Amino acid sequence: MTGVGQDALVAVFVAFVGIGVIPVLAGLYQYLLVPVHAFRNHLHAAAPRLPRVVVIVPAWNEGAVLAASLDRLMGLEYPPDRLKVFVVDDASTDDTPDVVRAKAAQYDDRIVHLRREQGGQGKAHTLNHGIRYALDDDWMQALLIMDADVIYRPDSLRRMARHLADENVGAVTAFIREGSGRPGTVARFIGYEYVTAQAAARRAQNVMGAMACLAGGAQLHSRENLLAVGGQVDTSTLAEDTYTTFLTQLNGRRVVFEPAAVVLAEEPDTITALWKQRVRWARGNVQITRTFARVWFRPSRKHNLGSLDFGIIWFAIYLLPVAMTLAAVGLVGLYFVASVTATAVFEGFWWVAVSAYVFITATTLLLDRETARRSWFEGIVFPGLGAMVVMTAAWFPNLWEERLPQLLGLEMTETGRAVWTLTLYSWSVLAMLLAWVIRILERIRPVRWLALPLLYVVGFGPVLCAITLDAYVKQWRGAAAVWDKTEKTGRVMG
Amino acid sequence: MTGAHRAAAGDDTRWWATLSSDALEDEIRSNARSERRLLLVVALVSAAITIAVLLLHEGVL
Repeated sequence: MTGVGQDALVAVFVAFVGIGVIPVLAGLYQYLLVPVHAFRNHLHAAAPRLPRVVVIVPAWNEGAVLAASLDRLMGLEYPPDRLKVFVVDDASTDDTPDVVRAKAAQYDDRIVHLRREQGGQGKAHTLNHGIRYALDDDWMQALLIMDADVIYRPDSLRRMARHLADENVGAVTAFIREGSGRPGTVARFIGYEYVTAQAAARRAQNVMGAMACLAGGAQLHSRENLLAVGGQVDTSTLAEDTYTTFLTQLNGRRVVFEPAAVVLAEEPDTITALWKQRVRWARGNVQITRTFARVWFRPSRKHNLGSLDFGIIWFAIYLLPVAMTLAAVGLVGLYFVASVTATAVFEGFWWVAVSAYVFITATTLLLDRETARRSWFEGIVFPGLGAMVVMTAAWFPNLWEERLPQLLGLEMTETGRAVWTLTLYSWSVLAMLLAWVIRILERIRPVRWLALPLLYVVGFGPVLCAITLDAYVKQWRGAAAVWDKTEKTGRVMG
Repeated sequence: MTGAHRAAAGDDTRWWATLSSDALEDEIRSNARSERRLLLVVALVSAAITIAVLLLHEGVL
């Protein structure tokens, strides 16, 4: 290869690694906005307001979890004459109707049982059935959409409602905290992830004035907003929550995150259940990205969805598997054409990653101490023990190749060194491949016990990346878009 | 919400009395103060930890 050709190849590989740095910097930028929320939040425009609220609870075979949820709703610190609950029973075949009828009798008909005789069309259709009833008369001033298995803290609804005093606000969402009574490893990882994706990211989105998504289990809409978005939620995508969030903002209304309104939810505790749930979410995001293709990077006076920073953050998450793959390809390519440059680029890439990791992990653990108490270890190893080895290798050159083997009186061969270096350089892709192995192991009874230790090695972040990649493939192939219910046990603390 | 607006202990039947405009405004102010305090502490401590790690790596500390 000529000198010019080689230089061009080196430049391309370095650019690939540069693309891999973008999501890391976008994540860091988002976290740097979190403290700004101390001064730039919507509380200054909030005022006492207790609108008449209809709560829509979509329920399909939720008998195990519904009674506790309804009891909690009736115990909300909210004027009883301003709160009605519509349970939309999506043709349940368990004891859901009996549970709802018993609760309706117990609470003087403030709970209404709406039955769909033909169900199975998904959550959006179920919600729309309830919304139609709620809009039938003028009583309802605001509508709360929730999941049957979430538990609202007593003060959460009134803390959400105060933002509707500002007529520019169309919808308000709360902080969904993982609250399983006895969380396993996967649930503890999700607990930590929810602090990053909600308590941190949504504060940053409040600051940016653009919200990516109203939490499905906690979205309070003003009646005006509900009518403006068509009086129903979208049924054409797998992400009806995000669709409504975008429509609200495109109509010129704000969507606000209220971190002091806390809702507890039980999340999946196996990789298989997580995979099923997150593929649905990720496919929904693919659909949203395409549906609102004209919004991205086009600033508007009406909304901030088209702002540069929001667009970069959206696509940094959306294209994370691609960026991580390009970074690995870039590093491996450099290893073969310019090994000295490869070492420098590898150390530079991971130097940025370590700095971001330390700041983000510390912020996340301090931001929500209840989750930190349950999930501090999962927070620290969120990128995976494997990635932590890579980080130490980048920060302390020759630590693993020379210094540690020397302590044991060993020496790494040239071949061993090459294999080790290529493993470090390609770890971001290897981790995604290993995520698939975890999923397979979990399904094979004799080796199922290996899945959790491997999850700690691979990390939760790479598992989510692998799921996103799987979602791309399913979407590209046009696989059937089915709405699968995530199984819950009803063991939520609080 | 500050103590002044809490319902009396055990007075479950009148808990909604805490939802007066006064009490709700008090809660908004109190939450704004808590948010400011929490985020400033979080930012300072996280920044300090990150800087300490970077300095340790550079061998300054």
